[in-house]
Amino acid sequence: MDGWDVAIVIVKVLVVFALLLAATILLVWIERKVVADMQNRIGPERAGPWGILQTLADGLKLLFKEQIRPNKVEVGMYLLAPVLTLLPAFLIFMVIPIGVPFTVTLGGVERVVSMQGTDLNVGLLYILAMSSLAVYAVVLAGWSSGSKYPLLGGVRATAQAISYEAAMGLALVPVVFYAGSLSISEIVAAQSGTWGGIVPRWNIVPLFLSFVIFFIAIIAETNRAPFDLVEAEQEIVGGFHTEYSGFRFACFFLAEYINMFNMSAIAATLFLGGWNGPTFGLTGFVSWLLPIIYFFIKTFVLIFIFMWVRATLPRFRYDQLMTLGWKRLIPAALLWLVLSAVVVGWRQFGAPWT
Amino acid sequence: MAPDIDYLALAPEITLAVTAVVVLLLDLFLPRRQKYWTAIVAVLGVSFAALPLIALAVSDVGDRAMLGGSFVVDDFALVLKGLFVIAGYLVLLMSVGYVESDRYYQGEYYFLLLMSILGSMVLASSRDLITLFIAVELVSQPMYLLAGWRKGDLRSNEASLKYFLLGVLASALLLYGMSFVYGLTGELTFAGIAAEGAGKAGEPAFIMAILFIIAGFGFKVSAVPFHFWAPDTYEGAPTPVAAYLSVSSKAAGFVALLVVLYSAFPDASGVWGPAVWILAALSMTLANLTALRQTNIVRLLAYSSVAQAGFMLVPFAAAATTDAVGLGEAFAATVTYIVIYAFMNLGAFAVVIAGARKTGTGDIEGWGGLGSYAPALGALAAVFFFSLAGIPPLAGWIAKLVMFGAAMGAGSPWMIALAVIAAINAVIALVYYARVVKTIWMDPVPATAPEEEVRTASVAGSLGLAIGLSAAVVVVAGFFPSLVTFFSDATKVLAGG
Amino acid sequence: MNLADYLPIAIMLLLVIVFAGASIGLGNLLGPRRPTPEKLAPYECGIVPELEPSQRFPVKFYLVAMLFVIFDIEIIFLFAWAVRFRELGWFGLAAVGIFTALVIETLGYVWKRGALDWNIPRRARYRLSHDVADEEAA
Repeated sequence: MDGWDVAIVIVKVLVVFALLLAATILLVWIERKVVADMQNRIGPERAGPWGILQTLADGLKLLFKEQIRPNKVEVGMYLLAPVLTLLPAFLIFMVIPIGVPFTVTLGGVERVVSMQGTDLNVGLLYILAMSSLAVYAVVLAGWSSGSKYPLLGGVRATAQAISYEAAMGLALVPVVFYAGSLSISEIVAAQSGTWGGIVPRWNIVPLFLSFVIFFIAIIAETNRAPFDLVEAEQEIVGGFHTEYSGFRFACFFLAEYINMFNMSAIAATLFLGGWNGPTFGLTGFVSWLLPIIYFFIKTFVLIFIFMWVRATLPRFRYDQLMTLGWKRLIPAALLWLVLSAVVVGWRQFGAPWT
Repeated sequence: MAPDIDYLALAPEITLAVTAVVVLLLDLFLPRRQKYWTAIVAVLGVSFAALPLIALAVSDVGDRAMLGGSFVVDDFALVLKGLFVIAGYLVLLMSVGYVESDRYYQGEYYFLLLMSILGSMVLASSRDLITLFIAVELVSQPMYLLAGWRKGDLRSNEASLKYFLLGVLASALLLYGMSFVYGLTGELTFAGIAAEGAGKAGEPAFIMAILFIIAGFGFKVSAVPFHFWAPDTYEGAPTPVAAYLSVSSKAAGFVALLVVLYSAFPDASGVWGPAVWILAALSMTLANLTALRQTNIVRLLAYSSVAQAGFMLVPFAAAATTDAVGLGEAFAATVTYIVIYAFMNLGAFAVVIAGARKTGTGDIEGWGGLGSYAPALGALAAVFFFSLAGIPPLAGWIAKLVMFGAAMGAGSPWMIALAVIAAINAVIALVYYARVVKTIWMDPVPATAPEEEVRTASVAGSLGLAIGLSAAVVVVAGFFPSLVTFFSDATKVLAGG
Repeated sequence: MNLADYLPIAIMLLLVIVFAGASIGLGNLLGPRRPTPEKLAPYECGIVPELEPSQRFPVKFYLVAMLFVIFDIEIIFLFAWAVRFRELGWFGLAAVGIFTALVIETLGYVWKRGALDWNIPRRARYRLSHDVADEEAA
């Protein structure tokens, strides 16, 4: 590993960082526009063409607002929580491959640069670990605010996140035994090709139920409607971030949208074949660019579903939320896991009595 | 890729595990009035678990080792598994009527009890630190819950909490010691530790590790000074649970201690010998002196069981000072004592359950005249209490005999001193055991005694069966000691090896 | 495992901390600071809060936490098996099947015992479904 490799790593990190920030700015605007269209409104239109700079303007405005620190807070945790909420949001994307590798000659050596922050051999575990970490920020923010609504929001968030995390993990187990690896790049590679030249070998085809469970779980994990009890305005004001203002609040806001993007990207990678797609026999630069486009198309389709769900469904009641998680998703995921394991086992090892 | 598994060797454990699962499921789906089925299934399951044990005992394959020597089924394991199965069976019989009369969850009670029995079965076979620890925890954890079974009762809550807090402390000590051992030897199996640790007996860390392990198991067997939980827990817990705690749980602790000290630290006997000597002397003396002042029958039995633990530790201390042959003798002496103690103590607790129902109290004074209105029960009480005291021709005297034999066989002055302490304590113990029998037969019926029909109501069938079986073993073994020594001699394989 | 694989993550960690710290610090610099007692009081929809938030929660949240521990650990075991799915063959599948069956039993147990119910209090639900009231009356 020489200086050039380190430089490549730094460039990668900067690209991911910029990508996530840009994606957030775009996402907030898209969401407002899409939801506005669905509700027969116009949405933001003043800042920039079609209001595309609205998010940037909001962010700048928050920078100039007072950052109130109420007198009942636990100072250390209260100040730490906004930083803590950003960390997993940015880190989780580091293991997602967004395209095929390319080669570049630097310092006289030909180097292969993967379109992935880093290819961990335990990538999937890393994703699960990071998404678990996200709940810490929420619960710490809620607890350290020294106020009733944030506390309720924080406790709710914990119960909700850990309930759906179990379902999420269970839904991912079949993906692992289809690919035989925890590395994300290998999971993507296992999904290349087609069945019979028509149907792509994406995990969503044999594992449709897993995908549905996973997608419901990630909506809950990101605290999006209809699972946004954590910040249910009508019941508990703003939930865990009631006592935050200024850019500290913006951190939570930012993290929520980055997480939505991350989770869509993960779902696209694990179930929709990642950057896999037809290249039509093209070579060179176009064959490198196409996978990236495929990846973003898939991701944004999923993000659109996120927004569609938000605009369509009313919020759950808390007992409905827990019932769905524990009594529907987890049993379904367990049974589906057993079923698909037996089917795959049967196909690979023959009948158990042979 | 599939590891080599001897399913016959695992059959008793598998039977118990399946039974436990079935019991829990049955409880979920049975209507309230038919919950007694859980008890029936539990008793049947324990009985069936004995069948593969017999098959293993008569098979001529010899020792069966599995999973890299972590799980061994040899004669030692078989004898103790047999003991655990029978003790579990007797406790289940005692529980049936007792649990049914409480308005608490039956299914969970049997499930937890079966799990604990399963743990003790695994324990008898475990030959590495991790399996051993898992087994010990599997024995203890259900007991924390069972001790607090009558959750409306403050004493039961206290029992559970005390047992839990001290139990987890003991587990922590145990794990701490084990991690030291692993760190020093790099081995987990007992054979490996014995080989690697041969020259390390003098290292301070090794000594500390052994002392931690002894302290950890000291809690489990409730030896003084680690006995504080025992009287309160026995008193507050449901009486069948107290019986189980004082017999199976304690025996499991002893088995673990035996296996660890004899097979993992044979060369460090200079370390654990004196430690065990002190534990034995303290347990016998302090517990007996305290027992003299007890007015509650269960507390008296609790202190008595602490004292008995002291007697069981005597051959341990002796083993530290002798050669291989003496080691085998000491080993067999401990096993003999455990086996006999199990039956007489279970019998004593069963009698206490029956007696408490008749007299309506756990105070010894309230038991006055029990012999006059329930002569059979009174007679059996006398059998068990005199057996605990070690009076011939009941089984208890053989236990004492082999214990003294092992202590004197060692021949060193320290061991003779311990034997003298044990002898004095046997006499002290006679005082309080005899006092109970005297109250039952000689004292008048107290004014606070319940109605005539309560006093003469017949004992529940299953409880009667438990008392009868224990009494039969105690009497028959007293007349034919070779029955017990046949089994305990089989266990010398472990020590003699 | 190659530790160099984690270098990008470490750099990103640093970058995010710097970014968050810098922008919050910038916000502190640029934003006004005009504290008033009302503004600094915990928010309670306009009224002056009289009580501290309660430090005790319904026990159900603890139950959920404990159940989560059971299920999360189970999932980790499943991942270990899933990676070596092909090599372990039917033996691994059978072993994991037994394991999963026990977990399903656990889930069924807590379900039936009402640990997953958040609507009707457990005792009331038990009475409704078991006719305990009738039994006590009898």
